Amino acid sequence: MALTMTRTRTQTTLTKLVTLLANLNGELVFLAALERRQGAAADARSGSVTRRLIKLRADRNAVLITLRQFDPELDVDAVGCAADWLKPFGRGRVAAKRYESGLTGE
Amino acid sequence: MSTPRTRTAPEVKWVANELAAVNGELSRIDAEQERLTTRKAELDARRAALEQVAVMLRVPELPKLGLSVRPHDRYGERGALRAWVEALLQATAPEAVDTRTMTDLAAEHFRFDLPTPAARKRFMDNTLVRQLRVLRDEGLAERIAVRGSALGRGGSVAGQAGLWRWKATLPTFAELQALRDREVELAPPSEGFTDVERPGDAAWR
Repeated sequence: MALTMTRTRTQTTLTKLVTLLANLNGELVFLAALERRQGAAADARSGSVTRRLIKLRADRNAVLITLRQFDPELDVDAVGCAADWLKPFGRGRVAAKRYESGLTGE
Repeated sequence: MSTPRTRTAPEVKWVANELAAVNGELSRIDAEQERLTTRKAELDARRAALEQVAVMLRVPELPKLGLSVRPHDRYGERGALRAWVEALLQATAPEAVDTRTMTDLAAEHFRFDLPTPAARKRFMDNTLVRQLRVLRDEGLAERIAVRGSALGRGGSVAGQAGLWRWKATLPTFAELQALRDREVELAPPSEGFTDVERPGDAAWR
């Protein structure tokens, strides 16, 4: 991989990082709602959701630190939620069902 | 009866002072070590975050390449020189500052050496004036032409340091008039006066 040693920040990079954050936010909101629906059951189903939540939170933290490195004055709280993370599973409610069953194994 | 004056032997005085200086230098080193430990922890966390983002961007091999550069940190952080130049011009506004003075102040503020005239000129021309031109292009600063000096473009004199000042944003006549009209509209009617009788109105119309 050929690299040019430059620290130039481009709009493309910013868009990519913010999109990454927005998709993480979207998936976190979805999973938090799923966790609430499933209740406090300590079986394998909720375990996988919790594990995924932990991983997503860690990823989100990493992206936040990266965005602060990119531009410390960026208001990261203004980034909302995106749903691109659901695209590999299809569209609409079917996609959500597929995602859920893929996670919980049902 | 007053206590008799005592005199400290000069060698004792010297050793005491040297000890104090060494203690001071050691405490400075301790403080710097603490700052560096905190900074290292911060950077380790940042490195872990960037490596994680590399995985998310599907280039997990990126951290293994072991890329390393020593970023230019003369001014402390990105944007520090610009912020300093802006603060200086704003503080001295509406007076102008010449680039030679700015060079001296910058070297003192950021604690770097410009030991030779060539080094000073390089900093002034390549760094300081470049930053001033950026501010000028953004409409924040302006270069003052020196009147009465016919040499060079823009009235500048060859060999003379440029004068720069913060660009004042003065309201236009139309803006002042609009402001006055708004105040007149909002102001409660005074008893015994008509609009025509209010002082200053006749001058505007």
